Amino acid sequence: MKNTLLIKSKGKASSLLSDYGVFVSFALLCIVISMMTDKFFTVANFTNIFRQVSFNTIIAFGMSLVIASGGIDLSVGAVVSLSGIACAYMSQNPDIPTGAIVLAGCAVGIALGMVNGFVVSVLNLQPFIATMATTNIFRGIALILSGGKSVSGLSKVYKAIGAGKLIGIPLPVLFMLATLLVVGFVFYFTPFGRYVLAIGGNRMAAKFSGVKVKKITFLIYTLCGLLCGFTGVILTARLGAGSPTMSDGAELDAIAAAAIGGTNMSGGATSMFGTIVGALMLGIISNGMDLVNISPYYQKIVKGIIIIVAVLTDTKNRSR
Amino acid sequence: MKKKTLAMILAIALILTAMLCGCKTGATTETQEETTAAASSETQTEQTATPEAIGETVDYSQYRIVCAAPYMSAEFAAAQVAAMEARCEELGINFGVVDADYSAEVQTNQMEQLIAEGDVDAIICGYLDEAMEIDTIKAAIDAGIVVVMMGTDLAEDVGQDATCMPNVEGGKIQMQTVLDQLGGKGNIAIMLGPLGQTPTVDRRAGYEEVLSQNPDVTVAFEQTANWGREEAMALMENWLQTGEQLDAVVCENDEMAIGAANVLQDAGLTDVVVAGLDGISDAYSAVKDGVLTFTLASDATLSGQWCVDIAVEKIVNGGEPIKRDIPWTVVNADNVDGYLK
Repeated sequence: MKNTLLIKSKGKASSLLSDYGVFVSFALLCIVISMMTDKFFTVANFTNIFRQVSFNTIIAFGMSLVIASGGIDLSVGAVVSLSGIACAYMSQNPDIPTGAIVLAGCAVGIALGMVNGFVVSVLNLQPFIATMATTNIFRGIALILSGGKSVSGLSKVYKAIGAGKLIGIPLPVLFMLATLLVVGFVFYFTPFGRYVLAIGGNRMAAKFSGVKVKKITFLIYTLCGLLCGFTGVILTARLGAGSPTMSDGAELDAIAAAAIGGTNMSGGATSMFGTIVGALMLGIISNGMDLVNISPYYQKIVKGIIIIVAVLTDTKNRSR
Repeated sequence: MKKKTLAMILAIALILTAMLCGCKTGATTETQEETTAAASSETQTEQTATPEAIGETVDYSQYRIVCAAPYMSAEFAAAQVAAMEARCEELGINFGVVDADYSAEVQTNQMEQLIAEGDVDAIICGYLDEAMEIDTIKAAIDAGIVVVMMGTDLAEDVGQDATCMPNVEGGKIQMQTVLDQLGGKGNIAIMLGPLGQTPTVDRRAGYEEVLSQNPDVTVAFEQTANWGREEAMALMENWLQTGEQLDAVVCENDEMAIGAANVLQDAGLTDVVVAGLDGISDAYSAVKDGVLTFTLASDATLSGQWCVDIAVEKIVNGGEPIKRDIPWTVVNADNVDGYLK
């Protein structure tokens, strides 16, 4: 299933570990936590974990694509926040239908993603610097629009997007799965996915092979913006308020999920399934430690160590 | 080609600046109106302030007060600054704000700049790191500038004035109110702010003081949710999964309390006491809706006003450092209506 341009390492065992390393460490982690507490492996707890990670996962899909194309998007949290504030303001007006709010939130995401895409691909700025700058701009606009406060007073229908369930599954989880289907289709079954990896693998080679590098790069950032805008829509519904400080630091969680999931930090390889497992792993680490009631001081250390071990099993991210 | 790109960047920058300026003026006038309304209702609370009295003999328009804000993105700090602005406008004082945006280093540079400008009479400072900034604060005071700390006083005394948000006291009042509701016994959970931050440590110290006198109370969980609503929701869900029966959840700030309260509400556990601290507007709505049991309100408007009043008093009269504690008020279902806008 893995869509990679890197030459596969020789030897079956090592190739298996490199391709499925994240799944192996994920299973190991689950087993270890299950042995420590019987509260972990229950339907109710996994429902929680899936809901908790669904927001980060959707952002991480976008982040994985951006990183696989050799870029980075530091503005994801700011886009989530700005989209959320827009949705919250619209939801205060009972005359606006919820469908329109959802579309507007996504539109905000697309617009901000296009700004990122423009700065990176047309103005040709380094993605790190470009999105660091746009983060400031987006957060600034969010602060101005909200006056520095949380925007609450959302309608019941809109809140249901974040709090509701369908056949026992929380809606955010279903949204995450739907996103996986769409993004997975685009990535694995359309030329777009190959272009992303080609650009990330070797930009010049891609250009000479006829890939429209600028256009594709612009589209990648726009898609990432759309996913963040969509996250803003459901996260705001879940929290019951849009806030200018919302999802502060979300870029780090998304980057971590992508890295654990086997996305090559210098571009050229990623996996949507890996990303989802990476995000789940981060969620399970904090859930497990809360259940076992590990002191907050030690939680940080344990989390760091687990991330290192998880990435170690993935040979592509070892420094070569 | 390069010229074209440059021109494009400049054009975008220009448009953005124009847009932002437009937005900003709108936003400020709005907050000003709000705070002036709040300020007028506050005036009867024990105001020892003398600016009006002094004002009969002094022309305030000659003074310049600048607020070195720690971060304007937090609602409380924004409300404090808005109150300062309103108060200065009322008195005719020239007022300005610089924002350090969570960086002690940036704030140090800003303070040095203000000292160098030479015409600043008072700096109202919300410091970020005492050890890093103490020398700069000293330098400002040595240069004859009145320095008023906004909300949190320095541990060391270098001649600064202050309005103080008594964090230890707040923690004590919050925990005591919870235990009063529980009848002095029960199983509780504590949600902490970012580990190592002064308010986290001080509020926790207040809890400890009360808990040490109540041996019948057990603390089942104690974790950080980093002041955030999203993290608090996840943490609360995880706690519920353990099956532990909780009588109360005590949170070091309101955002976390709202998150925890929403999860408990969804789980149908409406009789668990959830306590917040800070008094943000969302918390008042949550108290009104019966989701949050109570919050402690520290009056941001009053704090901002007092900072200006203390500064004025010191600029005109000088004298010993002035310290004023901002009082905490328990806001619950009985009195929340007075706090809703």
